[in-house]
Amino acid sequence: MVATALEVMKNYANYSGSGVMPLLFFASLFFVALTEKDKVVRGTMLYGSVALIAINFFVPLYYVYSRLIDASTYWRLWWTVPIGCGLAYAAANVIGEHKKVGLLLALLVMILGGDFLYTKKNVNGEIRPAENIYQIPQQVMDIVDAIKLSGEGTHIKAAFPGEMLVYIPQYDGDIEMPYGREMLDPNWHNGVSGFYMLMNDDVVNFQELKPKCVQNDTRFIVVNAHKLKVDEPEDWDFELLYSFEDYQVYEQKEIYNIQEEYRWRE
Amino acid sequence: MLQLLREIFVFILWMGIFPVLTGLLPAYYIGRRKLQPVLIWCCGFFIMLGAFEIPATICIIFRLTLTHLTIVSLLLLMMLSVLGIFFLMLKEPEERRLSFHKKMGKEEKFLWGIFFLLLIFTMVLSVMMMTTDGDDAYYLGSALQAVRTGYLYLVDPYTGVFRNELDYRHILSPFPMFIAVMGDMMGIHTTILAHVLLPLVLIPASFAIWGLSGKIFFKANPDRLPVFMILLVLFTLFGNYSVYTRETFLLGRTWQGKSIIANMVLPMAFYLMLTLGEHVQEQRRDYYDGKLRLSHTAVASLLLLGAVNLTGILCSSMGILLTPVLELVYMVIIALREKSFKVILGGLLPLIPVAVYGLLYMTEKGWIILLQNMYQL
Repeated sequence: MVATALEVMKNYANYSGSGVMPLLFFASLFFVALTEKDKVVRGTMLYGSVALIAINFFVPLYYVYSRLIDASTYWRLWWTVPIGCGLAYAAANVIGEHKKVGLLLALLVMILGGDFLYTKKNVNGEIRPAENIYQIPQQVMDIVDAIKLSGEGTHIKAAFPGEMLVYIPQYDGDIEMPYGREMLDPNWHNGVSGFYMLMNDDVVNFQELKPKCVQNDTRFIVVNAHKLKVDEPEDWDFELLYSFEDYQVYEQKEIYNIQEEYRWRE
Repeated sequence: MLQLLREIFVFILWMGIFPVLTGLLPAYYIGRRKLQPVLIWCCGFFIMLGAFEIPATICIIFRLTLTHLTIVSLLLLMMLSVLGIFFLMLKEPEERRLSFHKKMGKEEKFLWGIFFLLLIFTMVLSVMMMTTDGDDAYYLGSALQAVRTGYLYLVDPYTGVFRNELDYRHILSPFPMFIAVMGDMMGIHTTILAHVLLPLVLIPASFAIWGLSGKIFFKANPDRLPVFMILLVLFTLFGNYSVYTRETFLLGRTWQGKSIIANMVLPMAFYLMLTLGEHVQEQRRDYYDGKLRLSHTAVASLLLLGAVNLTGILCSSMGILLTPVLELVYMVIIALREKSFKVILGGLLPLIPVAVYGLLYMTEKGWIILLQNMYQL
């Protein structure tokens, strides 16, 4: 029971970050309790919020939830608590008639106590200025376009490095992959593909990559150009097709020959 | 040029015409027999998405195509829109007039100006900045594959390979299929639609919904409403105190169902509970015997709550838990305050769709396979 209670607290700690904003929200509730006369607003903002907070901290609920659903998503229950709305409501009433000074002070509190999403370096992924209307890195799109050009008229299957796996399915559905973003997601199979492990290795080993390409019918591979290559690609029937700033696209000639043969027969 | 006109028309159809026409009826009664533009749009948005959920899950389970889903959902929404038009035509001309905000003072206008500037700033940031999220590979990948192949959830979006089994974890919450239908009709890449165009509607819509609650909060001091709204935008911009907050989701994953449930569905349920609470209190005060009656406002609110709950399920499997938790808490509070058990009974009605989908989720494959087998027989 104690361990489950600690889990609940950890869940809250993860959600609340530095803890400043939720603390301010609790203070807002205190303010509403002292000042709010309207029964409807009091019921919704104060009693509702307190009940929802109590539900979030209710240890038996967490216990059942973690067994029936998934403990790693319990934090979403915090979405039911109107934190932003409660804070804004209390602050608007505290500010009252001193709107300009009050808003400036509130801005200062937000800057000090909160976090601006767009200046974060890495929050659950990359945040940076969009390079195009797709909001996908341009280099990834250029690589996909180049592969499609080379494989035109054929069934295209290509292996990509881990950092590209999120973008390919969003940009182009025509390209099949021997493994996908599930390699990066602990909720899925998380890196059980030997092919992915080779592609994600610190060095590029074409000798080991060749059988993986052949077994998986994968004609193209994209490797990081800055990685050390332990052998020569030509020795293992790989041909360099394109070089980009950070990546190189290789074609597996054995697969190419098989595909060409099938095309010729058809 | 023709393509551009098509894109604009279809976008306005889904994000403007359908929500406005389908929202007329509930908004009229919820808004105390006044047609408030923001309330109409918000009500209609949830009716549209709630209505979409039913044909979407049926089409997915019975392995129909995107074309089937598009036709059925269009017909359904057209019927609901025609209902809205008829309703409007039956009303007297003075009842049809839109009700706008009362006249404002200089300071209030200035504060609203600041709010809209901050809102535009937030929207511009969402268009200009790229916020990568791993889940997009699944959600936007599914939408793209549906448009490319015409099949719903029958291609693994991660690898692009066809599969025989349906992905039971996601098919009952098919918001990506809504993106696919819109993208297909517009003839636009679904990723552009999701990353750039949808946030331009969803971000202001989220604030509009909070604004509806704000109007009730500040009935006595309407000059404080713009301050409340400004604070909400600021809190959203600086709301990234952890990766889990609803504000982080609104700005970083606007187009995902999870963000919509956190930033639109739950706030709308919150607003409707506030409205119901207010309405019940008014009934107690206004009727000579103080007894609660089934009014137009109560029926409209409960029906809309049902649509909101369905939208919650469309957006995320968490909709089965989050909206009922929030609604039940508020129903109990209203019932205790008004000492009426009827409130809870009424509040359980909108939870019927949640119970149905909940059963489907809990029994997962068992139920769905049973349905499929019945279909094949």
